[in-house]
Amino acid sequence: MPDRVAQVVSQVFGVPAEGLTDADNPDTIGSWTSIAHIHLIMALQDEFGVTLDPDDAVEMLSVGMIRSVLAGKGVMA
Amino acid sequence: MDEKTVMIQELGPEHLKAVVQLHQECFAPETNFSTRLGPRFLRASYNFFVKDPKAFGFVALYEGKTVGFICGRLDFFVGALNRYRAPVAALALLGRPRLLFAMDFRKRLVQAVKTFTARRKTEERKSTNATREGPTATLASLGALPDYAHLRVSDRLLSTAESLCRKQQMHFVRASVRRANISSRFLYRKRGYVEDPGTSTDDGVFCYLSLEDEA
Repeated sequence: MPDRVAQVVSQVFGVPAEGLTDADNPDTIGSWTSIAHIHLIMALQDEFGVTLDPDDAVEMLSVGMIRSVLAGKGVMA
Repeated sequence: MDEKTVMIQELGPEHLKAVVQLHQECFAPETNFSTRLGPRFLRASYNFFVKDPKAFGFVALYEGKTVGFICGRLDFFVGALNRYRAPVAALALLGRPRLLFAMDFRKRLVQAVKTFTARRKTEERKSTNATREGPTATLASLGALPDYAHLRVSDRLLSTAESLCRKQQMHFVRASVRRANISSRFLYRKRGYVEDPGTSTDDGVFCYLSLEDEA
């Protein structure tokens, strides 16, 4: 079953959660545009109850990096 | 809508009116020095990128509508741009004297005057925190309507500008962006630009794309 990060990514970008891997990034997910990235950050903040500052947000360049930033904030995704 | 129908054209005088309007839509006056000085100042600013021999600019058109633009120069641009638009800036300020009482505006004005007087490139390098060695193009402005983001307008404009810079033997492309502007910083990072913490400030981030890496 997809985890919470995959579910958020799936909902924001409109892609199936099941097929997502840590390597997925804006090049592999066509709807991951710079504007959609803002929606992703807002959705992650809502889902995990964390505050992501702009420096955190721009590090999230792949699904794996999203997990890594969240882990750095003590979130067990 | 089809990405292929977005057309990129070189910026010309015929695009200035649309680019000024687009600038006003993309850059809020609260955060943008040029927007606050009004459309006449903006027109003069963008005309620089049409007239200056080292400058370049492109617009993105979708179904005849201008949906994005990019401008830059094959060198630093701030000093040359400020010298070009100084008379219009002075007139714009005369019409908006209250701007002089806004602290952030005064700070930017002092910075602009410094670059205006920076005749030597080394001085401009200091005033713009530049650190990279080698021919460096500087992006001055990139704007795109959010409603057309799915067409990857900004990506296409950046790609066109980077190709031009590569053809012109530039080694780096440099851009600056507000630290809080997540979508623009994300876009640059995604395209391989590296943020330089050494030259960035609390408010702004400088980033570079190495064109040599791709050679």
